[in-house]
Amino acid sequence: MLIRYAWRELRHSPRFCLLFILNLSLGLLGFIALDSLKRSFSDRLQDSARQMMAADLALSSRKPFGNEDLSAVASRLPPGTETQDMLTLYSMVASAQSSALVELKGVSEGYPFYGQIQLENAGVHRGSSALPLLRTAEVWVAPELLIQLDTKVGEALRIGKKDFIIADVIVDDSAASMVGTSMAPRVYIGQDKLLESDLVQFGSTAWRSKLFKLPPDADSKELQTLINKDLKDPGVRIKSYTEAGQDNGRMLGYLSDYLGLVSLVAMALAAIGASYLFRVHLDQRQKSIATLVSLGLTHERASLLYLMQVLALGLFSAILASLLSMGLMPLGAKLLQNLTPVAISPALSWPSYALSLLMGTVGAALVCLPLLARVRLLKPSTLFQEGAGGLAHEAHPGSWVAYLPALVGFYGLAVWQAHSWRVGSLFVGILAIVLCIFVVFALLLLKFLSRIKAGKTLSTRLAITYLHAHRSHTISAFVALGVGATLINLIPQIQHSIQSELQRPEGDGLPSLFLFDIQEDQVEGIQSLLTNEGIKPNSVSPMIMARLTKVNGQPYQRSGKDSEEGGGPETREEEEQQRFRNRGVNLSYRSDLAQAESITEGQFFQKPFAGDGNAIAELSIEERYAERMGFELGDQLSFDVQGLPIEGRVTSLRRVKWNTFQPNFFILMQPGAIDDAPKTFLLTMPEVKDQERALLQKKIVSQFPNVSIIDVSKLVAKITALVEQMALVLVVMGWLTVLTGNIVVFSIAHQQSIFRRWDHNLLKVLGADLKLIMRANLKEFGLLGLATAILGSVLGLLASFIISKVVFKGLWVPSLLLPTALASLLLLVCLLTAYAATRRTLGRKPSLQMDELQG
Amino acid sequence: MSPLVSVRALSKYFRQGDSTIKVLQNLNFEVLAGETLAIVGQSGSGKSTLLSLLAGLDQPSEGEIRLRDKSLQAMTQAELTRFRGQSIGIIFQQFHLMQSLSALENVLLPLDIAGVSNARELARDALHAVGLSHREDHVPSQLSGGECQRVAIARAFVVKPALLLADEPSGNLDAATGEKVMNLLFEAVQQRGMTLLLVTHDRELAKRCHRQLVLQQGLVGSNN
Repeated sequence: MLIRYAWRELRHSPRFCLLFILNLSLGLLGFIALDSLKRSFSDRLQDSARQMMAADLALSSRKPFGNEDLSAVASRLPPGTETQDMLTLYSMVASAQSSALVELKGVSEGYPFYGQIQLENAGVHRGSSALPLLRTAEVWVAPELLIQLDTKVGEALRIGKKDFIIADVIVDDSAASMVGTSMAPRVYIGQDKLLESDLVQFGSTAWRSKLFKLPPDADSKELQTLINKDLKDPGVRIKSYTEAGQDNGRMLGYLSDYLGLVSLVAMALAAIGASYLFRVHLDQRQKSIATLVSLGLTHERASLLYLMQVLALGLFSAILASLLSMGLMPLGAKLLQNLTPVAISPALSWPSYALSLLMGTVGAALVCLPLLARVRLLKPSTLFQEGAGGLAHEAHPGSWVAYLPALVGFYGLAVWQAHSWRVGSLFVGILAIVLCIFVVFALLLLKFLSRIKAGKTLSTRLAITYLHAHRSHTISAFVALGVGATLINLIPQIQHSIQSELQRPEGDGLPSLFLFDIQEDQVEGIQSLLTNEGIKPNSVSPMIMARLTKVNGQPYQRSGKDSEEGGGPETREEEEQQRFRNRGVNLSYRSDLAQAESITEGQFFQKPFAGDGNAIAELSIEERYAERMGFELGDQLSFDVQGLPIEGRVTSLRRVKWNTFQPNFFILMQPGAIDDAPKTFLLTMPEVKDQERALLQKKIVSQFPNVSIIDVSKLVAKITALVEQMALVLVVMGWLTVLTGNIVVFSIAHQQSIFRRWDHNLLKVLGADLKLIMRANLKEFGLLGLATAILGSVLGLLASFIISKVVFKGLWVPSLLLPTALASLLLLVCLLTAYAATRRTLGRKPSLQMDELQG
Repeated sequence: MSPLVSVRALSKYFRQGDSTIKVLQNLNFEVLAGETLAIVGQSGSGKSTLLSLLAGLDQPSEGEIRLRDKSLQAMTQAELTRFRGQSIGIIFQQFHLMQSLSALENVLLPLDIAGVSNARELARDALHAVGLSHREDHVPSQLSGGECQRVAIARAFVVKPALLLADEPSGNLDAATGEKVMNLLFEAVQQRGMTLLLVTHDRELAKRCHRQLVLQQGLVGSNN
């Protein structure tokens, strides 16, 4: 019986059904699509990181591994783990014409476990194919090396004491997908053959690695932690692929987090819209409910009747959203593939559909639960009163409990989506606070309106009276519109911040060649060579090798804690940190900030170092490096620059945009302090056409044979394409949120207008001018829209700041244009909706029967 | 003969800010089974409040109402709802029909709620009794005011309640239609042996009842 009545009610409420389904299915569609896109980016991120390391886990050391450590690692690795060895070192190699510094990678059978090496002649090499480098004395080389050595495929290359044949040229290498990680062109060689070259001797600087491919269900991060604890030799490092790829990985991570946030916002908007619409639906049905109760239907069964309606609509919305996503996702995937060469293929999974179904039904029921609880408080005795009203509008003590299941459910969803308790709690916390702020402001607004009633025009008085008389409706519309406005503002603000990070500064050209090891006396020569070719270098940076010895007077070889207690490091992390600290650092100096840099704390160098008396040179540190090393403004750092002690004080922290691909040094010293120290120079060249680039390389090498050249043009192009794709996704998602939010705003404004129909009818009956009614209605919605848009914009800006601080590591670049534009849009939607709905009502004949206005 | 309805020391107060409004004060009366009682009084005298208390839709501030010797105040909300569904029929001035349901379905509603097996047949009979068999598939918006009230009457007596409560049933109708509807109501009450408590302003209509209870500012002015 209840099912039949539920169905009948829905059939007679087509507008409510349509708007409810539109709201919920849009939210669910957004959630499914974004979840899939997020997963696709996440997969892409993981794949890219795996390919960069060519394995799941890598064990590495400068010395041969000890048996104890190898046994410890072996005992932790799950059955089915595959292993291979790799040897990496920098060395000079020579052709018949010239010599150059190269990065030698001695690989073994099965390399790479992940990713591929694209060769000019042999095509793609994957780990599954046999590695010809192991059988014959052959090598694969980076294309720029052929130019630098004036040689070609098929010719010999002297490595150590042995000659190798250049068998092929590396066109693309997935293990080299970061710019600036290698300081010389790469050469692939069989590991055994590399050993035969006698380059690796006792005391040679070479990295020995063991690469591991884990079974699919193994957790590399967890294994890394476990193995780390077991390792005895502090010189041995274990690294998971999750650590590979820094900047573009970080940005992909941001994008993934952003998409997660957008999907949560889409769901929150849908929940607000659905909840508001259902509330209005229940209000319109209050007489029916009261009548049913007066006829003997229990309050519980009356609630059940409406719960069934919510479940049916939720189910329909979920099915609709799933069907739409089935149709739209392949289209979206195709579009993404066409737009950029990077493979991002969002695909839908059954768990996504199941989740959508669960959220559509159980989620919708939870959101509407507080409203259903109000049915239990219904007073059917009001049926005996004129203009019957039955549902309790005022807050009932303990009624907040009914909101708990929805809140807990949404909290669970947020935590699941963000994969973080902290981020999930932050989002739900912010949403709850925003909700409370809007309730308080709604009450304040009503109080304020009650005081300014007198002395205004009739339309203004009517508008204010409406808002005041339907207090409960005004509050709920204000809160729903306001939270919607906040969310509409939040996403584009965050989008703007991430996009600003992705944007390259104007005029900062992309590099195509990196030139290393330029001697001081060669700088002028290279620059004039380039000038003759019509090329202006992007940057020329001095590079001084140094070792950090002290921080604030304390020896830096040992941590502060060690020096205080006299003991060694207690944990492996401390040991690792110590090793990192003891590593050599490259210092540089310059008087101006690069276009890609900005000062986040302190002040950049104002003048060259004078070196008077006890003056200490100023230091500018890259902010993330400072965070990792624990450096703060005012810290005094001591360096050993090839035997000479140099002091510096941290006076500024810099943020560096990574996607300019310009060389940037962690530590910059004030000009004049170390200018005379022995140094080499690093030069980057702007984009040059392929053929010109090859010729240029030849000219540089012929005149300056010691200079190493790395061609980064292809890699830069690849990463730039990825960045463009990210920017596209950001923009599309940001505007989709605005669209979804405005549909919710439309639904709310539309229902509010319908709610006013009887009042408008009465005014017409009483002979009110149609323009007067329209003006009053527009003023009412204008006030609601304006107040919520302004407050929503401010709160959206604040929320974006907090979320950016926590989730996006302080990446916050506010835009004032955005809130202004969005607030105007929201106000416009409110006014247009009110106008359209009022026009429709005003077009009807006045009636003395309220029932005639139904439907 | 024991009374069907027994009202003892019934009072109902409402709080409005700091003051208390006494809508009904210390009412005492009884209604026998099969009797018709008109409750008359000026607007604001507490007629509708009394009706909603008698229907068990509201709780008195003081006193007791007994129906078939059962105290309404002693029942739980669920018991009261069930009891009302089976023993009390209500007719409202504004009809309160379900707009989404046809005339037949509106009459079917209390039977469905009570879980009666041959509900459709009984509903058709009731609709036939009020002369609306030909309108059973029409929804309220397609019916006239008089027809709506006849559907409401059919809905009220279809479960064969012992007590019928009617709140100004002709108040929304023109005189001629109102008279027809009231004739129908009294006929149905007589045929089915129901007890009727009728709230009305109409003195002539009140005279058609066995007795009249006059309410004056929440007190029983006369009971004759």
